[in-house]
Order: sequence, then structure tokens, then C-alpha cells
Amino acid sequence: MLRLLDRVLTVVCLAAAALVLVLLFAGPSLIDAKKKQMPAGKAAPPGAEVFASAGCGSCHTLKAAGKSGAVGPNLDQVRPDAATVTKIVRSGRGAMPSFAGKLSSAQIAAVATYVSSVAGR
Amino acid sequence: MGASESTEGLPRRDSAAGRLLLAGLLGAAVALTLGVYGTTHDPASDLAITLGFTTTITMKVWLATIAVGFAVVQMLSALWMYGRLPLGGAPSWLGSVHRISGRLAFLVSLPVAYHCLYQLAFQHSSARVLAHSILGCAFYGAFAAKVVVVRSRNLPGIALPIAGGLTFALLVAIWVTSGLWYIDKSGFPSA
Repeated sequence: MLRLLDRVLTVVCLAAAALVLVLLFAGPSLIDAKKKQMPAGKAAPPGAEVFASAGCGSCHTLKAAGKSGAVGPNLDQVRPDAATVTKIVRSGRGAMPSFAGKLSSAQIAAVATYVSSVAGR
Repeated sequence: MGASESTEGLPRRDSAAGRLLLAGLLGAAVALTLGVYGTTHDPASDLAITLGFTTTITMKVWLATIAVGFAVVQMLSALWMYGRLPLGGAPSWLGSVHRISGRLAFLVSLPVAYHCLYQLAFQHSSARVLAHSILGCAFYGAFAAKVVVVRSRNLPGIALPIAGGLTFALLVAIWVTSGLWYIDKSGFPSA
């Protein structure tokens, strides 16, 4: 029984490792193809660019930015005001690190304005 | 007789050295590949998975902790098989338990590694994050090297315990710099 389970697990491990490799290497191409199909819109506001370049969407969901990160709080549900975003981005909270060394004050202000204006809409 | 043993032993030693070199090179290649991928890949949340957990971070904390649990079982069973535990002789089923626990630890680590690499990539925003990124790449390199060592015969007796111990230590270090850190900061997340 244990030997059978051992053999089955060997196959499952190999298949799972192969699947992860496929997702890692083919994933970006799939996403690029999806993005190319989307119609070109207006130029993004500065806060949106900061949101994208700082990788906020890797952890947070924000529908307006087309992001669905599930690591941190869902910004569309929390709908934080600009002051709250500024404070958390500057100082960090819980598992979220401070971005004070990565973003300038102007960038933090831009992303705070952007998030507070589009979250939940 | 002695001369004969020495001439017969030479190719065997060369072969063992070759396999150890292969294990080391493969491990380094795997770790380097993951590091290069993590450095060049733009973090993306588009292909996020939660496997039924409420959030990605919850899934990662749970699975990483479960992986460490299986790794502890594998380490203890190895110590028992090597006669390092005061439990008498190892039962016949222990080898299977050892292998199964190792495979399960590897299996449950994969969704965590996928998310780390795809969603967050290689980061260096703090010493902890940098250490975690490096340890994550090194773990799969050590795992690949251990697989080669396990599958090889006539290697020095110390090779497998070193490879296994290193893999175990790296997995625990990864968990300490992520799962345990998160639990310490925010408490254990409910599934």
C-alpha cells in the first residue's frame, strides 16, 4: 500500500513540477496575448503608472488597474482614503513593507490619490 | 591483492566523484535558473491561484508550514534509519514513509514557489526578503542535487546525509523568513 502510494506520488510530483514550469514560462506569453486583444484607451494617470510599476497589483485587487492580487487586502472592498494609503505605503503595515525608500513623496501622493479615487468604482 | 583493489577502486572513485560533480552542477543550474527567472520576470497577479484558501498569503503560509511538517517527518525517519534515534531498529515501512513524506513536502511547496516566483519574483527590499529569495532558489537546487545523490550508487556514505540535511535546512530557513515571519507579524491565518 505504501509502495503504491509512493509510486503514485512520484508521478504526481513530476507532473506538478512540469505544470509549474509551464505556468512560469508560458504564463507571461498568455497574459501578453490577452493584453494585446484589449482596446487601447486613454493615457493612464500618473498614480496608475506608479501602482503598476511598484507592483501593488501583485498583492492587491484593484479592478480599475486590472489587478487581482490576493496577498493583501482587496482595495475595492476596503476603499481607503488618500491619507490612509499614504500612511501605509510610507510606513508599511503587517506583512506589507514600507515603500518610502522605493517611491518618492510625489509618487506616493500620486498613487494614494489614484487608489482613493478609483477603489470600489 | 592490495594493488588489484587499488586499481579496481580507482574507476569507482572517479565515477563517484563524477556523480557528485553532476549533482552539484545540476543543483547550481536549477538554483541559477530560478534566480535568473525571478530577476528577469515582471511580477504579475494574472495567474493567481488560492487552491480553495481565502487568500494567496493564507495558502502560502499553510502550505509552507505543512511542507516543513513533512520535512520534519522525513528528517526524523532518516535519523531513525541511520540509527541516530534511541528507538531500536528501523521498521520495514519506514523507508516508504521517508520517501512519501519527502515527496509530499516537495509537492505542497510547489504552489508556494510558483506564487513567489510568478507573483513576486526575486526581490531585495529588505535583508529578510533578499535572504528568502536566495534561499528559495537554493532550496530547489539542493533538492535537485539530492535527487541525483539518492539515485546514485557507491557514493561516499556522508554524501546523502549532507544533501538531505542541506535541503531540510534550506526549507526550514525559507519558512522562517516567510511563513514564521508572517505568523509572528499577523498571527496564523484561518484557511
